Amino acid sequence: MARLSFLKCVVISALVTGCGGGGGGGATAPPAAAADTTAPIITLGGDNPQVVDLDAEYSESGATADSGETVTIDASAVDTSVVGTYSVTYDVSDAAGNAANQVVRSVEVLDSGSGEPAPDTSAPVISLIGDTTQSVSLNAEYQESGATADTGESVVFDSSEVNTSATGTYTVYYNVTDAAGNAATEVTRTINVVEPSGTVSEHSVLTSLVDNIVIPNYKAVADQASEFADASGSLALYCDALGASDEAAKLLAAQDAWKRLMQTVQKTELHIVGPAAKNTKSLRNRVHFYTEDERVSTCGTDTAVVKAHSEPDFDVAVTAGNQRSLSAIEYLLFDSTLDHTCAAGVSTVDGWNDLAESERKLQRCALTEMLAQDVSVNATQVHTDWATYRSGYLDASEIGTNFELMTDGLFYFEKFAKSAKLTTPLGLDPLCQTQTCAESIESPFSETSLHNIKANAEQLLAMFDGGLDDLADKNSSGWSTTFKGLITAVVDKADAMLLAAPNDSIKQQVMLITSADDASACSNAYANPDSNAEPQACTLGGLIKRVTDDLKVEFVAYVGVSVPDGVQGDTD
Amino acid sequence: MLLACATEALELDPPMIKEVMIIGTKEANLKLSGSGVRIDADELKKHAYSDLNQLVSAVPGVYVREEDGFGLRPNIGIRGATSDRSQKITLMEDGVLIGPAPYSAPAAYYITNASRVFALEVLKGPSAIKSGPHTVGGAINLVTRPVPTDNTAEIDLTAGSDGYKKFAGAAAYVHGGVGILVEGLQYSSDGFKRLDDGGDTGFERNDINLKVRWKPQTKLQQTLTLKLGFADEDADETYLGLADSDFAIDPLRRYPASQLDRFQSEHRQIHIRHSMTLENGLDVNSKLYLNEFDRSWNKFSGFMDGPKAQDVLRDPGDYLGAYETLAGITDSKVGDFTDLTLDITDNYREYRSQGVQFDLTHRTSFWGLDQQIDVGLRYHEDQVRRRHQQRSYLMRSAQLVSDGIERAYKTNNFAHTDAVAVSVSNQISWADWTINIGVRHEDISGSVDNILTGTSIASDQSITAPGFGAHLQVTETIGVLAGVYVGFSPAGPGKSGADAEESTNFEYGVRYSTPTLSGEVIAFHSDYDNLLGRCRASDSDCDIGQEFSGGVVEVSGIEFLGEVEFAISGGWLLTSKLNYTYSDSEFEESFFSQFSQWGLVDKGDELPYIPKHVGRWQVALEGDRWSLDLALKYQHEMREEPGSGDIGSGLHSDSLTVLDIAVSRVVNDDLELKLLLRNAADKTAIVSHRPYGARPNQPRTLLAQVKYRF
Repeated sequence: MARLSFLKCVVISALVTGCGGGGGGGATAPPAAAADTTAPIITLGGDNPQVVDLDAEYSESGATADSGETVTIDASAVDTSVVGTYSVTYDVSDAAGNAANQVVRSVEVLDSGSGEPAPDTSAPVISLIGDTTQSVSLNAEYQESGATADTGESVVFDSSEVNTSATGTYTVYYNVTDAAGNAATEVTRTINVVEPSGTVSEHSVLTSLVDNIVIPNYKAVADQASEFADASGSLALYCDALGASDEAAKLLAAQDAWKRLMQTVQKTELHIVGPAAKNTKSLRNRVHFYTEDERVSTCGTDTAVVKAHSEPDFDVAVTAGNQRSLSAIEYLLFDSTLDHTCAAGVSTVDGWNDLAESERKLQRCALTEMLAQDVSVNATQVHTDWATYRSGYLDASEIGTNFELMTDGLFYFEKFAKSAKLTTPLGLDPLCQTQTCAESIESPFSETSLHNIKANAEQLLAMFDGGLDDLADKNSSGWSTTFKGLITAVVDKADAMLLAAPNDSIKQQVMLITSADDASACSNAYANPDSNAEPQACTLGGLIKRVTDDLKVEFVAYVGVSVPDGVQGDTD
Repeated sequence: MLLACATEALELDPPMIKEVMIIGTKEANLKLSGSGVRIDADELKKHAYSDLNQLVSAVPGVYVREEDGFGLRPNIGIRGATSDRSQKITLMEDGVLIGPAPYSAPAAYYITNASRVFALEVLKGPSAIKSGPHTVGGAINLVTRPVPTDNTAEIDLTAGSDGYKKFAGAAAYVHGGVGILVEGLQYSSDGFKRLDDGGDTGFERNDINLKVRWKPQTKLQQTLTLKLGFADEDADETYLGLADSDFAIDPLRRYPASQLDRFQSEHRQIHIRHSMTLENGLDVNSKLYLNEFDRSWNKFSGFMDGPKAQDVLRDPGDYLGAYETLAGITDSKVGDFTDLTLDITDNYREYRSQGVQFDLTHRTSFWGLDQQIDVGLRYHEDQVRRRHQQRSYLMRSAQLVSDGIERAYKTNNFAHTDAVAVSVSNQISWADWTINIGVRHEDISGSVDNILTGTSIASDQSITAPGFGAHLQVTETIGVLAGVYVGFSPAGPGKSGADAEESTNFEYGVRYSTPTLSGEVIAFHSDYDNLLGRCRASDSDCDIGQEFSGGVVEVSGIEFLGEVEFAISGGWLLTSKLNYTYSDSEFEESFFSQFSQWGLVDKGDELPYIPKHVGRWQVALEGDRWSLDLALKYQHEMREEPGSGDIGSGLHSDSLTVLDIAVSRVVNDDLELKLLLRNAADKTAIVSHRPYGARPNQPRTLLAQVKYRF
């Protein structure tokens, strides 16, 4: 329930703040009044627990929901022919789709008629007192909080693994056997031995970043990607509606879902470490393909559309990286020109342009759905891999290496958020050898690059705020406030740009630079961002440069890391 | 005392010596209105050092940073000028620039073999401006053996610990006005460090020199000398040290990651000198020189895409996988999340340095003042071609195995510098006063072609630096001196954002001299407008040769030098010499530098690699046949990063006290036997953590030397 509410918040906030610049898409937010987020509450009738005699019939006492909907009851587990304790579950969702907390009734089947007590074969259940995950300060004493058994026996615990003289994650084991010799299922408690609160260390910061930012971000991407690919999701509804009267509306809904997912993915771009970075970022690229030197291949995607239709054993999971991921989906979903983009001579697409529009849409939709599935699988893979990767990543013996990998990841802001997404397209970066280089722009079909940059800046701020600031302040008190101010200026600028001219995307602004005078105006705006001159994208670039300049010098110095290879030689 | 120890060796051929020396005679030295020091042949022979670091440690104000333990590539600094690869001092052989490319790439990967050094001059204070280009700290002039006046031959055989062997021979043939001297030197060691797999860690050096001197029978007194030299080196030398925890267990260990490391070099030189004295008393010394030096240093340079080796060895517990890979405990992990492929790069460089210089000396007298006017003129050009080929290796069962992937050049560039230098000085003697006024001017133009990027950067510098010094002989035994000069160290060619290093240097002091007791105390203060840090291949996060401005820096200190001599009954002579330098340094600005030796600097931080206390005490007992010489050296711990307060809390080298003992027995006029015990107490210290991890000094070493003259 809590998770669903959270997702709703994300969805709604993305709709409100994240969809303004959708170019020709003209994305609109659903009315805020529709957002009923209150979950219904279930009230049981009858006893709980309810006692039933052996071999007697179980009679359901029912339940009601305060919202008036019918409560769904599942009593299939109850077997009155066997002595034991069973659960009956009660669920309900209201009209707005809010699901109630599940209520469980305990049904105890007793042999009261035989005259002899039935043999006690039920295992006791252990309940921990206190949190199941606890933190203990390094070198402090571990205090056992204890546990109880429902049968009343004393629970035996084993905390011998816990070593408070070394940071790390340890397990305490709880066991109990009742008088009848039934052993309870073992229960464990996780003890994290951490640096004392108040003293930040690389370890405490990395732990906090991983647990509070990295893993939750990947979970959000996995959840949203799965929703996007779901048979009842907005993409499937659009494909189902092809040719119907609501096709256009369904397309808009699918595009909005893609935009929301992309905004969540943009958060993860600042921490491409661990599973997402494995094998030269293969999983990351399968979720979102946007690299230093390559963009999505529209022709490759066009041929994939044809192959997916004509080849029975077509498998999207083995196609090239540049025709997969959210980037390829973006092309298929946002580019309304249905003609293929291949040069003459690509035989696979022969005859494509002659097909009826409806047929072409159908075939493109089919591939889009496959790609969405593929994105979902890979996004889920990253998230589940983190579960096994986490402990190794936070192992004290590799903290130096892994902390540096994490801070290296922040230089995405320099290489991508600044250079690839903004200053290269604007012709401000030496990487662009012509006046402008629009081909470098991210998300060119949805024209949401500015949203992406803003999301990157927000994420940089969140990660810096997640403890790196405390590390920096240990070396230079107060600098973190300055740095946060620089990042906030970028976020505010992007916000202001989106508010003032929602349709004026980075792409639009790049296309307006056509003369040497335009280029010089852009250079001036970039060099003097305080003057707030036009083009605004160039002013934004200047503000971002202030962040990356500090990132390369003060940040690495105060946080105590090195500039990753390949960044320093970058000439601004 | 050192200043006064004019020896017979030097008097073998005074005119010859003079033209290759800067300070010149003992009298000149005493009246020098700057704190120059000369160490003569006899003094140098006492411990038969083959390590230049050891030779210069007898001079106050000089800092030495040990590296490989043999002094193969000395790190010498003077009065605050960094000791890093001796790049901030002017190094000369017989008055000629001897570094591989003193302007384009001043790091001294080549220097005259210490065994060939016959006399040594260290110039500090205003006297430094006579020799450039690097005058912020001073200059060192290594004087090689002059062509003797009689036929003679000598062999010197030395053997000792760790397979140390030295064969040195010299033969001179003199006929009429022509003298020929041939010198050969070979020395080698198996090395005192141990690779885990038993691989080689030693070195071998060869050095052949020919000198031909011709004194034509002309009306004018003149001498022409040709000097040809060839030297090579093959050393299994590395930059990779140890984690402190491993150093504590076995300081002499070397990790398997360094097993392919090898330094190979060749040096060739032609020097032609001509000196004459014109009828009007004008001395004209002309020198034409060419030095070529090629080197290849294939060595561990970090991980291809992993953490910095320096970080790993500083905190191995935080970088366990990387550390265990260096130490050969585990195989290189590649692929998954980290890439621990090792980077072994061959830093191949070709250097050339050539030029012509004229030194004119005119002595005259007017207005009742004795005047000596010295004019120096030099046209010099040097160049360095760097081709650094990266290769990648995997650690497999403690052996480095190539991963077969072709790698690009890491560095591929060419730097070139032309420089015209003029120095003029006037020494005026009046009554008990000696005044020196001088000025040095250099016009330098340089360029760097980066072949990898196709870019070329040219830069010009023009520097004028005056100097003034005065010496007053107060009484027959006491003299006082004071001086001020502007020192500089030009920025390398194609400098990016770094200005030439300039300093204003002051010194003043007092000298006391009697035949049996002498001493001097000199205070110095150097005020750097802009200290320069220069990146070497082994520094992380910078391009080689890239320079970093360190802003305003102040270095001050006190140097003490003293000698006392007692005659004891039975013809024995006891001498005791002490030198000591106290140094204090301070950055005057807070800044962050990407130069890894500086990093985060707070105003008030002390500079790295300047020991607060450094000293040497030498006691010698000399008889007719036997002599015993003890040298006790002390170097205080040094910061290896800027800081203030307790040195121990930051990266630092250890303090080190080393006792060297030499026992000599003169069997007859031709045969001399010597027993040398170096580091007699077998003290071990971390002499440096840079570039990658802790490295040791030379452990106790016993050597036996036989010298025979024919």
